[in-house]
Amino acid sequence: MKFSKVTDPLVLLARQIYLALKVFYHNKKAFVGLVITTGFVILAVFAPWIAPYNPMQFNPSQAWQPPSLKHLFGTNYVGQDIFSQFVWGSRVSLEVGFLAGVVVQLLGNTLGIVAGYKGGLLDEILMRVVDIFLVLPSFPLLLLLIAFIPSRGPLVVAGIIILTSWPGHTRNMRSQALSYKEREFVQAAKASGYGTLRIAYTEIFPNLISLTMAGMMYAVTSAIGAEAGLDFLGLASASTLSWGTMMYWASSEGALLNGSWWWLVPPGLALALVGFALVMMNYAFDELFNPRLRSV
Amino acid sequence: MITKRWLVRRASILVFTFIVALLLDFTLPRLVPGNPVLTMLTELEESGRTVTPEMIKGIYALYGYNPHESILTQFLAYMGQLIRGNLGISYSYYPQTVSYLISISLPWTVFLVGSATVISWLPATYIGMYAAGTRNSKFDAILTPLLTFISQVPTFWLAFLLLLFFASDLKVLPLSGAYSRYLRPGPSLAFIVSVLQHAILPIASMAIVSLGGYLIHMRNTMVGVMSEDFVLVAKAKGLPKRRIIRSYAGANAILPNVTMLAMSLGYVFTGNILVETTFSYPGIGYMMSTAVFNDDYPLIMGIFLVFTIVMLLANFLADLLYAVLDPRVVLE
Repeated sequence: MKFSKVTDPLVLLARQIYLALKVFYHNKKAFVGLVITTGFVILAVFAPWIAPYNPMQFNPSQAWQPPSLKHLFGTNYVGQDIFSQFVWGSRVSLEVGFLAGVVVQLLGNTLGIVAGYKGGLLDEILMRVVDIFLVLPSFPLLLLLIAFIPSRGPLVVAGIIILTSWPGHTRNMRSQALSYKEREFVQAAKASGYGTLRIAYTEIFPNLISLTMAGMMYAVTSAIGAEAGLDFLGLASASTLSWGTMMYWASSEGALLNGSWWWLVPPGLALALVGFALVMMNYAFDELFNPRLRSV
Repeated sequence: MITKRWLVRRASILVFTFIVALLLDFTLPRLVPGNPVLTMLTELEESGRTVTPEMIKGIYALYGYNPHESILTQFLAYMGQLIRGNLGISYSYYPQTVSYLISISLPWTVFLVGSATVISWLPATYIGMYAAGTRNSKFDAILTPLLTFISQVPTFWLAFLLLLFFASDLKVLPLSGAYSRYLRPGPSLAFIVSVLQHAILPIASMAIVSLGGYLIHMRNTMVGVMSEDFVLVAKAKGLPKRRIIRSYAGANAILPNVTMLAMSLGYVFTGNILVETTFSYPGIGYMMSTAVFNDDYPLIMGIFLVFTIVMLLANFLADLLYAVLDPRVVLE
């Protein structure tokens, strides 16, 4: 443990990043996760170039076509190309997922670390709010809020998901921050007159990077799932094209009855793969955070 | 051990959270611009129903809505209605009351998700206990990714796949509903068989997905416990491997999984909204999704309250159970 005396946050940060890269380089799970995620991100970013057709274009003479070279994933009830819909649909899912995931992290990190470090009344109030949000059933709460909101675009959905999912991460970060509060390097920073936010981000946060990453993977996965769930229930705005709405239309237009599996399989499989990839990377971060599990 | 202080503190959090849920239900309709009661009446008329003076009176009374009174008086009036069990009248199932609709749909959900939870938790815990011994072997290479994938599959999508195969292709199992519409509900053999036939696919889709999650969780906890000193001592004493796994490591590793089970009892009522919708299964989850779809506000708010109560109790039970099972835990 020749590093144990090092308290310079930059050195700690550099060490964490180095370790993370090392684990990622050697870890098959992390590698698989990274490759799949990157694949979907490329799909979403380059959708206009990858999708062969306009995803909304009706073509009734080509309705219900099974997969072929012309239509990789076949066509739906009005002849829209399912592969093009699949490619464009990835955008909404990933956008909402990553947006909600990142914001939940930022909120959770800041509130959690500051509350844990500062303690006192702020901490007490914040934790009571967290207690309440944690036991309110989140998906039904999501539905309740959606029911009263007239606009249901992806941004609104992301906002509501953030509202219902920030408390879990905040609580984790707070309990971790609490354990760093009395450490010498935090005390030293305090004695040198650093402000609360500066201590939170430059002293305490570098120790919690792997936990943050794990929390982020979890937040992104659940946001993507929640968004797909709302879309699947037909609660998205009518113009939204996402993996969730694809399944909604497939189910309401009778894809089950006439056995057109090619309309149902791709969007759900993609959701499962994205979740799988993120959890795989999460395992790698776990190993980083908990050396006992490290297999490298 | 459970201290009195913990009980008081916990109970106050429960009560407080419940009040927050009530406030949400109370506030949301009032945030919509205009007179909430008129808005609701308009929607009711738009859905093709004649609005009688009694209904108007009833809706006003239910929400305690009265522009001439203070907000506090309105809230107390609203609470008064709730305490009497009056959750209002549904728009989409008019003239049924919300409490009645909840009471007929809740048992289906309890049956469906309850069975799925038991069917997945028991085998997952048992297999997970033994799977830990195989760390860094083939299990890690094949089973962990496979189970992870399964636990990430959207439950309603798996339900679709099962439906495509068993209902649409092979035509051996029904597509939707809880029992054949040609049967009269009752304790007859034909009815019971029909109920079971209709429940197989929803239960299977939920059980398969949660099996993956429980199994991985149990196994990971087990791996952690197996590296503890007392397990090393047990090994050094030369105890049989089976006994170490069951009575030493297993007994400890099962605790978090029990908490996970107790927590998921809360989801017995909530987590299956999507699956019930896929199967048009007449449980409370399907009721919720159709209510949102139809802007049936009284029904949405009533179901949300029921969900909240169930989640609160499940959380409380999970904590208690943990303290009872693990004597080292002191809840204070």
